[in-house]
Amino acid sequence: MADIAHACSILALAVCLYAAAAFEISAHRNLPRLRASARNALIAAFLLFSLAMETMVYALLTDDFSIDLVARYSAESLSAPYKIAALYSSKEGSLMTWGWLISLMTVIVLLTPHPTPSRPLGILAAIQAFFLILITIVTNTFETNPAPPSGTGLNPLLQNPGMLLHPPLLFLGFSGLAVVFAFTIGALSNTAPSSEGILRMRRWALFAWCALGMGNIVGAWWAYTELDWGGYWAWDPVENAGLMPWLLSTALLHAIAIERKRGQLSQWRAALGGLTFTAALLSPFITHGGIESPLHGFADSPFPPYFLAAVLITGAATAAVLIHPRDRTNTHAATQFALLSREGAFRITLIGFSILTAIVLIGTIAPGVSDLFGKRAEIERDFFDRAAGPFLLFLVFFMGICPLLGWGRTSRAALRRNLTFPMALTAVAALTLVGIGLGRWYVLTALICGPPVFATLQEWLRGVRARHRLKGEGRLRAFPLLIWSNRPRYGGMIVHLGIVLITIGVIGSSFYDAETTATLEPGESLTFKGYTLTYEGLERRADPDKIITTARVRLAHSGHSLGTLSPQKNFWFSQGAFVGESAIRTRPAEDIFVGLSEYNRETGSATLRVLIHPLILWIWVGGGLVLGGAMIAFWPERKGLRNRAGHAKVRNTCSP
Amino acid sequence: MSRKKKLIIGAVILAVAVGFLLFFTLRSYSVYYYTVSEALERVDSTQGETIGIGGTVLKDSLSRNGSEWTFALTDGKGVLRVIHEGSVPDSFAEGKDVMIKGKFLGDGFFHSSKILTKCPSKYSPKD
Repeated sequence: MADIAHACSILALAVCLYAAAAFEISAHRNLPRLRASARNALIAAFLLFSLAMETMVYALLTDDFSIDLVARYSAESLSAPYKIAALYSSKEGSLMTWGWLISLMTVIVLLTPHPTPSRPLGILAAIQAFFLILITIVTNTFETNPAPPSGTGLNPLLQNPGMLLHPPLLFLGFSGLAVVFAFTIGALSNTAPSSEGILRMRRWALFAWCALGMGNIVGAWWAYTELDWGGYWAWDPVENAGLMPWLLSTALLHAIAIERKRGQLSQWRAALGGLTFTAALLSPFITHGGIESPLHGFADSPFPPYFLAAVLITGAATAAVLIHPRDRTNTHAATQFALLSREGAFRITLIGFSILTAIVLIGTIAPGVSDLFGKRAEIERDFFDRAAGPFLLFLVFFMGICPLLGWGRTSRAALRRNLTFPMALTAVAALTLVGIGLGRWYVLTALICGPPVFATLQEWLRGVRARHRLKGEGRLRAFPLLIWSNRPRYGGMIVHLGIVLITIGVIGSSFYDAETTATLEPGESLTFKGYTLTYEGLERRADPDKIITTARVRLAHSGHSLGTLSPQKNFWFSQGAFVGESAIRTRPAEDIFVGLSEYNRETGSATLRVLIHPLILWIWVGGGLVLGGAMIAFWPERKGLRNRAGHAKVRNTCSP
Repeated sequence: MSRKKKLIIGAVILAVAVGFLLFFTLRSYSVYYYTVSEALERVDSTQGETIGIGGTVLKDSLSRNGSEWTFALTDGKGVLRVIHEGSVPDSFAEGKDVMIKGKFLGDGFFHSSKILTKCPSKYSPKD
């Protein structure tokens, strides 16, 4: 079994190396037959890689413990989805999954009808070869075990739906970034990419961005529901490693948007297109222990030096593309822009995201760097909140102003006309919050989030009215048609609203959270922030893999019953350790989170940890909105649609 | 002055400002980590300053009174007496490798406010 997978991987490696070389040669010379054979080689590599993956998945599903990886990460008692997840919970398997996804993406690139130049394909083949070297030569993923033990099982913390989604989504995003990287670096041999090339790059960047965003949100949700800690984001190095590529790809999407519309900022686009993948490669460097991480990460991984090398090589390649002299005929317009224009606003957005990424990067690698100088310094979480927080808030605020500025130049009169309504409503909202007596952070939230929300509403109302007037469409029907008429623009606006919701949730849950701990005897109750928690007693139950201890807690808020919560503290035999399972009751205004910290079997008393997280639900709702908006923006555009006269007219009335 | 020059000067000023801000924020939020014997050499010089110490919880040294824990931390060379106030992670026990954060207050004890167990890893199974 393992031999099949091993042989397939080694063959795939050989085929990938051939494809990389063949594509590189055909980038310089016109050799159609060589190019055709290199294409076939890539498809063959994908099939071989898939066979290797399938063999491993089959081994996991059939509990073939003669394979070391299966014995170490899976167990008979696991359900099928988690058996598959065991593959990427191992350090070798995670790279195998990632490499295979890149192979899959490469085949998708090959099968799209537009011809792809040779060099990007050669780069993709080389990236696959890199992953195959790591899983076959640097370590042997398919190592067998002469005396098969029974499986050790998956870490209980990983047995959560989050495990089925979070890592694959991140790998998917990273793989999409590999394609963006290949297209960007491939531009070295062919002059500035055509508009078709930019459009393809946008699709891949949007896909990767969306997968990364969802991966991060699901990771946060998983940490919140599973980790019995009550938080969702700790600025842990591994979390930052997933965040940085997302931040950079957000900037990349904005750079691509402006290049498509105005033919500007192609240098920014090239820099970001290369560096997003560099950031993605930094992720395994950190996760595999290149930088020590208290919360998660793989122990004793041999991979960090290889990924560090990959980070340096991709960074150097990006620099080479930027330095490489290129056709500048259509870039001379690049420096011509007014600050008070959407071009100016996009520049500020790009700079904002770059600084934000730099802050996260510096905070993440500072401990490792200080270690090199002999004195290890840990960076407190507060550093990130203090340093990155204001930039994040600024970007959210700025997001509201940006759509109000027109392309080219905005006259003061137009600006005033566009700003009056959102700013007035923002002021009203903020004053209302002050009137109700909510805290100053909520007022600040209203001031920051008001402009994006009201400006978007204003744009939509204007668009609907214009369509109603010009085309005689009913107002209700006009709205979806308006969104559909310019999907990148309106999809982007929906994404922005999602980001606003996430911001509201983050501010509410970080500045107004409350926590208390109390030890209760059965029958006793605890009152906290308007909630009454009555502890009813302990229940114990034995499962094949763990002993479950549940505290039954009756919950009520100002006299109304909210049902029963059952926080648990479970002893897992395979791990020989306790793992807490907290209970959460979600309400629109706030979540109440109850964890069982300790219990006493003799007296039946329990120590409960109670946390209140205001508005946290809106983080997940905002995540959903971001996904929805991204899907709309991703929907294929028909060619020539944006040049149609009627369409342009409607658009002009909404963005003067 | 040409537009390009203005842009470059603006960018440089921005970069320097952000750099300074970052540097000082970074400094004020760094906590230095020491081994037990390094920390023992710094009992007086770091008094009142928040520092981190990594070591192993000494066997038969752990005792508890409510939410106050006392134990000894060792790196094989020195032994440090620690008072910890507050919660401890599930996997905290004698013989475990831990990182603690806190201060020397001049009474000979290290007053810890946070304990992190060095778990082998979230992903790896227990060996």
